[in-house]
Amino acid sequence: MLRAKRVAINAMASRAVALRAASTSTQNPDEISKFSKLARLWWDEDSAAFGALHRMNQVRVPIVVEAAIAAEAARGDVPTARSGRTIRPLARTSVLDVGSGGGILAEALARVGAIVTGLDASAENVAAASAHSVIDPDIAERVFYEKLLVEDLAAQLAGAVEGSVAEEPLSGAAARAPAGGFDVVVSSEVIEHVNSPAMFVAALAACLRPGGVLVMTTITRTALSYAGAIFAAEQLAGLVPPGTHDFAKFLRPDELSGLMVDAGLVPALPEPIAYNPITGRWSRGGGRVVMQYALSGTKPLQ
Amino acid sequence: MPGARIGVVEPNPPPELDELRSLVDPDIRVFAITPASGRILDSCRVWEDIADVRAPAFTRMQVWESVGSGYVRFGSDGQGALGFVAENRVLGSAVYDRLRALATGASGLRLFEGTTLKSLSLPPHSPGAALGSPPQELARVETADGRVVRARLVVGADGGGSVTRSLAGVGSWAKDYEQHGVVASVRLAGDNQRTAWQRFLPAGPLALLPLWNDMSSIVWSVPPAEAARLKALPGPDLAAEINAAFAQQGSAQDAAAAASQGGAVDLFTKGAVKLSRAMQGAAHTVTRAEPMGTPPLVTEVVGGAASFPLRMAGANEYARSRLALVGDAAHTVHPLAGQGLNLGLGDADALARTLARGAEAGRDVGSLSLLREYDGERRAQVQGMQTALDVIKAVFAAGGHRPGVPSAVRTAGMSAIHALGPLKNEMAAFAMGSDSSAAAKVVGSVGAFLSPSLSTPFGSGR
Repeated sequence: MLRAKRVAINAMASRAVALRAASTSTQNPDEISKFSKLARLWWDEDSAAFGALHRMNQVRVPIVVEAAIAAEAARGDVPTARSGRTIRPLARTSVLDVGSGGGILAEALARVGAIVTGLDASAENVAAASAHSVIDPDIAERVFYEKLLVEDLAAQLAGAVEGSVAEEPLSGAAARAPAGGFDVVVSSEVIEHVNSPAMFVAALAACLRPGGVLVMTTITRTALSYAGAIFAAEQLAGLVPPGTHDFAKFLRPDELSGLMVDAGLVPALPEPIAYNPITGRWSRGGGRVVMQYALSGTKPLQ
Repeated sequence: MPGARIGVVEPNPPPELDELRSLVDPDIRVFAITPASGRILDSCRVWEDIADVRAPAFTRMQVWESVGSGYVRFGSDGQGALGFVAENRVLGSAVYDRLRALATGASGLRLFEGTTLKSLSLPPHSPGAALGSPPQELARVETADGRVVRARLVVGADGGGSVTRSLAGVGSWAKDYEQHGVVASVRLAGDNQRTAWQRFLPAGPLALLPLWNDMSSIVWSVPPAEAARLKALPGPDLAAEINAAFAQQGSAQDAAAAASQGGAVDLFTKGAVKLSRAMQGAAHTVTRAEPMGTPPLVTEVVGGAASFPLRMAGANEYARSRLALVGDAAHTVHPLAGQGLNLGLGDADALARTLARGAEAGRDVGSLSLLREYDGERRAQVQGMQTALDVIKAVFAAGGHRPGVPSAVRTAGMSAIHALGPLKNEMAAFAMGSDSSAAAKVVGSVGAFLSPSLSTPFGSGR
């Protein structure tokens, strides 16, 4: 029982440390600083909390890959026939990871071939992610991190599209962004911590190219997730200040779906993501959304 | 994994398989290969070459004892082999031929031959969560001939005395059985009946594994002094001792000791039931009742005899950041069930599946979080097997001459197993490798020799 409980705590902890400092213009500066001390922990796989987050890649990377390939096929611009399994299914795909934290998801997406731009509102996270990305030469050439808010990037991209002259020099992310926007925008375990989810989703959508796909994962609002949030907050006292889990900010799949529609996207059906606290493994599917879920939305070609 | 760049460090590359085809005498070092292990070798496109040369199947097993009348005997009943017996040098050459072929193709595989691992540096190892996270820096491998390779993953597959394991500083434990396994190739008076025989003698188990025609191989576990004596015997004398060991009857003293140990019968039956539970999941029936048989007489010892010490050992961890241990580098077991190599192949298969699953999700193949999945899957299974074999060894093979060792327990155990149809079926299924759960195969025996000394840096050469 003790072990089960500990693992359950770990699961909750992983939720808590997934708190990215991403925010909107209504961001709370405290939100950013309180995670800075966690930045150096991102890559400690021995830590129960971060280990769970690393293992979460086992489900969220395939979710992103499948959504990206489906969107690509729908656009009809499949560059090469994709037959069978390949180790670089996202080769030549541009990905924007909003709330990239220590780069756990960004590096995994780069490893399957994507060119990834990671945005985070915390300079410490960006520094930690950048430092880690140079360890593996294959990763180093495919990831780039910047301390930037997604709505600022969206504004710069919009300016570039409209041909207006920017008052400030473009950010690195904007300079690196493909003309017309990113093929894929991901934001994993972030939206539950931003103050204006509608603005956030709109900004994410604005960074997409027509025919591109937004993939998000988050936690729904149920009795179980409520209990989990409180539990995690208690267990992480000292690491994360109390009150970081604002249950009211959790979005149900239908609510997030609605935000995507408002942002001009065509949402798919939500996919439940489950964490098994006994095995420490994540799995996809399983019918009903109880805790985590993934939701993707495609930007129409117009 | 397609696209992976793999380096293999091999100090002593074996000869090509073709060079072995003309050899008449069998290698005295042989392995019992379960059908499941055969499938793993087949998936590596190695098994066909082995079977092509010589890896005879056996379809029947008999395990019995010298004291009392307990025995277990079963056959595969037309559903294919219970297992195969493959020579060490044939296995080694077949596997290495495959590596040679891959190295000449565009596979990204490179051989570092005739050299050894000189130094290995891995990311700092910190058990438990600690502030100041160790980054996943690539492993740095230096060979004795001065080459330096950076790798995402280093696989230690270099045997019981694994240099990789030592250099990585992974601790290990060991239990010396104070026994040696004496091995030799023998010619029989008749056909080997494609039957694997194993008899529990007071000093330890003696196994006779069928090769081809009238050829078989023996593995005889005895105290070190006895091993030295047997090895020094002229061939005809050793053959006579083997025949005597298979034929001898228990002494009156043993029988009396057995009778006085009646109370232990229940103990063993309980143990057998536990074993049965452990083996649940292997449901298909492969046995049929057969009367106890007698192995053919040994007429000649072909070549000399050799011996090796028997020990059970294990690494404290099978994985660390950027390191995985497989085969004897991770664990050794008592050879009485012929599981040493099969466990090692199971490791390799599990590791390959873990890496493929991780790579598909963009996970670093050398990351601790991924390798822990391999460690968790295999360590539990192997330790279960180690425990089971240790218990069986203690119960069945402990000397009847030692005071207090309940030989009746063995008799009761044998009878109980034979009477328990379902358990026997499960044992047979397990022996055939159709059950991957951790439990013991009581039959089939072979020396647990070291796996080929391969150490495999994985990935980037930059």
